Amino acid sequence: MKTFHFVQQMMRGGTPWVWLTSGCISIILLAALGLVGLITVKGLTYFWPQPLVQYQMAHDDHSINRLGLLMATKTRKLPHFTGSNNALVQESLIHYYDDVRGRMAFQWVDTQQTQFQRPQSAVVVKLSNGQTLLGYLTSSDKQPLTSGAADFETASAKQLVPPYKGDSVTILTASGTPIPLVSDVIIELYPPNTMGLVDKLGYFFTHFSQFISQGDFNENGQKGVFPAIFGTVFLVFLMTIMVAPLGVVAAIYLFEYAQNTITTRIIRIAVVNLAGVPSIVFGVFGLGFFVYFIGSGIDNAFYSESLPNPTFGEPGVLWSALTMALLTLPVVIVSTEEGLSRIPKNTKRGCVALGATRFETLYKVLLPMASPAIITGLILAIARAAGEVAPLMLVGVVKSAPTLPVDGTFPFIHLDRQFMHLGFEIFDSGFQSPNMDSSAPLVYATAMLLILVILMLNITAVSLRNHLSVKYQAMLD
Amino acid sequence: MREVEESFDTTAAEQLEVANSDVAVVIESLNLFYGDKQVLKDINLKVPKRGVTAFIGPSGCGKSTLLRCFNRMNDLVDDCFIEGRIEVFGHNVMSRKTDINHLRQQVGMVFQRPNPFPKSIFENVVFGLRLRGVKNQRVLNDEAEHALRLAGLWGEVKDHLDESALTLSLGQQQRLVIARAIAVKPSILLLDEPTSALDPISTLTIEELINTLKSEFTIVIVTHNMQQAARVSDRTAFMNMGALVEYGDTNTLFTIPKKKETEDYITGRYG
Repeated sequence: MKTFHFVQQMMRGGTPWVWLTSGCISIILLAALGLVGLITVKGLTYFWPQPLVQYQMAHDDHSINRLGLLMATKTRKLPHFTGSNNALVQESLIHYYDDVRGRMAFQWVDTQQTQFQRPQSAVVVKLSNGQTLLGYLTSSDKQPLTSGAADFETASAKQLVPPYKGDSVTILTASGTPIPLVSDVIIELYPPNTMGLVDKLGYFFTHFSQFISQGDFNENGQKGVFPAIFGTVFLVFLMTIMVAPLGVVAAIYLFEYAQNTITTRIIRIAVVNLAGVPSIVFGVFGLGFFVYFIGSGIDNAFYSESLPNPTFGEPGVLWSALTMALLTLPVVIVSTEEGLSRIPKNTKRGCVALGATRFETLYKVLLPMASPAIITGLILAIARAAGEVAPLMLVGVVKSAPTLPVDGTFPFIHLDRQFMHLGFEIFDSGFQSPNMDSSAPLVYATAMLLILVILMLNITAVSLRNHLSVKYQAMLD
Repeated sequence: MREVEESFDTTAAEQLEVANSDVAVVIESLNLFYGDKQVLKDINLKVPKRGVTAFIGPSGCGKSTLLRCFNRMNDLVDDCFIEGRIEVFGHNVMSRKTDINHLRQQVGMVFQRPNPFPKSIFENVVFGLRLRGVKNQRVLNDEAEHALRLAGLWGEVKDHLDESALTLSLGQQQRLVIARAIAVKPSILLLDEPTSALDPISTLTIEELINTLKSEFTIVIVTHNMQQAARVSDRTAFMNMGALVEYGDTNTLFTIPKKKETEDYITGRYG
C-alpha cells in the first residue's frame, strides 16, 4: 500500500516523465555520437600507415615469400559445410602488389596457421607511373638492410620525400628479385615498420591533405576526393541560389496575395506532399524534363552547330542543381510561410497604416523579419541536398569527371559539365568495387568527409541565421 | 425647411452642429458587414477639425471598426463589405479612385499595442518619410527630431537614436509609434485604445501628449476607459451594438446624457 502511494506520488510529481524524456534524448545522442565516432575512427585509419608483414604461403608444391600490408584482422565462423562445427578462424586482410605490374591484390590469410614477420627494412615504394612496390631497401651489394641502424636512419629520413635526383635505389622484392630504381621515378618511399609516432603522424597528415586536395588520378597514385568535395559544395551553392528565390516568392504569394480558397488549400497540400515524394522520382523527372526536354531544346536553339554532340542535352551540374532545388522547394516554402505568419499582425498593420503598399510592407518589414525562418528553411534544404545521391546519378553525377565545373577557361563556370559528388563516391567505391572489405576504409574516409562538408555548410548557414535572429528575435517573442 | 431640420435634430448624428468648412470627416449612412454579420448599422457622424473626438462603448460595439473606416484599414479584412459614404476633407475615400496609400499618410493611426519595427529608433521615426521617397539626410534628421520632440520622447532617446526601438519600454514604444505617425504630417490621427497595454504612468504621459497634439491634429481616439474619454476628449460618441447612440460635447454627454442607454453605460449599470 505504501509502495503504491509512493509510485502514485512519483507519477504526479512527473519524475518518470523527466526520466523518460531524458532517456530518449540520451539514446538519440548515443546513436549520433556512435555514428559519427565510428565513421571518424574508421575513416581516419585510412590515412594511417599500415604495417608491412612478410609471410610464407604455399604455392603449388613449394612455398613462396610474400610481403603485404596488414590492413585488418577479424574473426569469423567457419561455414557448416567445412565440417568444423562453429570453429572460429582468425583472418587478416593483406594487400599485396604484383611484382611485375605493381597492381594491388588482396587475400585473407589465416593468422593461426601463418607466421607473420615484420621486417625492419621493408619499405613501400610508390612510383610515378602509379605502381606500388613492396620490398626491402638494399645497399649496393643487394643485401637486405636488416639491422644496419646507421644505414636505416637515412632511409627513414627519406620517407615521404623522394630521394634526391640522380640517386639510385635497389629494391629487393619478397621473392628475391632485385629491382633497380632511379630516384626520379620514386614519389614516396617509407618503411612502415620502423616509423615512430611522429613519422606516422606526418604520414597521416600528408596523406589526409592529399586526399582532400587532390584529384582522382593525381601524380602520386593516391586517391583524392577534391573534385568530389568541390562538386558537392558547388552543387549545394547552385541549388541554394535557385531554391531560395523560387521558394520565397512562392511562399509570399501563398501567404500574402492568394485568397484562402479551395485552390490555395490544394496547392498547399500539394507542396507539403512534394516533400514526401521519393528522391529518385525527382531524378527521373529531372532527366526527362530538364535534360531531355529543356536541355535538348537549348541545344537545338543555341548550340545547333555542335549537334549531334549535346551541350546541355545531357546530364550536367545545372540540371542536378535544378532537380535538387525542386526536391528541397517544399521545405523552403513551408518554413518561409511559417516565418511570415509568425510576424505579429500588429506590426504589419502599423506599416500599412503609414501608407506603405503591400509590396513595401513585404519588402521593408515582413521579409527582413522572416529572414531567420527563411534561412532555417535553407539550412534544412542544404542538409537534405548535400546528402542526396539517388537523383543525381540520373542527372549529372559521374564516377570521375575529367574537369571541374569551374575552371580558368571562358566562361569559367561550366554548368553543362558533369561533376563528382562525395555521396556518389561512397556508393561507387563501396559497392561497385570488387572487394568490399578492402574498400571499406575508403568508404569510411569519404563518409567522414561528407559529414564534415555538410557540417560546415550548416554551420555557415546557422551562424548567418543567428546573426539575423539577434536583430529580430525580440519582436517575435 | 426649418421643421425638417428640427426633426433631424433628435437623431444622434445631428446632435453636434458643425459648420461644413470645419469638418474633417463626414460619415453618412455607413453599414459594415463582416461576412453575414452586420457590425456597423447606419452610422452618421461628423468629426470637426482639431480637437479630440472619443469613441466609447462596450467591447464589440464596433468603435474600433468605425475608426478603421477612416483610413480604410478594413481593407485588410478579407470578407469585409462596406456601404455608405465616408468623406475625409471632402474626398470620398470609399471611391475606387482613392489613393489608399496617400489617404493613410493623411490619416495616421496608432494601435492598441505598440508596434515599432525591429529597426533603430531613428529608422522607425523616418520610416514613413522614406516611404514617401525622402532621401535627404538633413531633412530626415530634422523631421525625426521634430516628431520626437512633439511626441515628448526626444529628451529620452536623443543620445541613442541608433539603438533598436525594441529596447524601449512599452510606454516609450507607444510614444515612438505616435512620433512615427506624426512624422509624415498627417491631418488626422487615429488612436485605437492607445493606452490599454500601458501602465498608469505611461497612460498619463500619453494623455498629456494627446492634449498637446490636439491643437495641431484632428485626433480621434477609441477607448474603453470612460474616465480617459472624459479627461482628454472634447466630443464623445457613445456606440452600442454597432449603432451610434449619442454624440455630443463631452461634458454634456457625461453630465446630462440624453439617452437612457448612455446614462446606463456611463454610470456603470450597463451589462
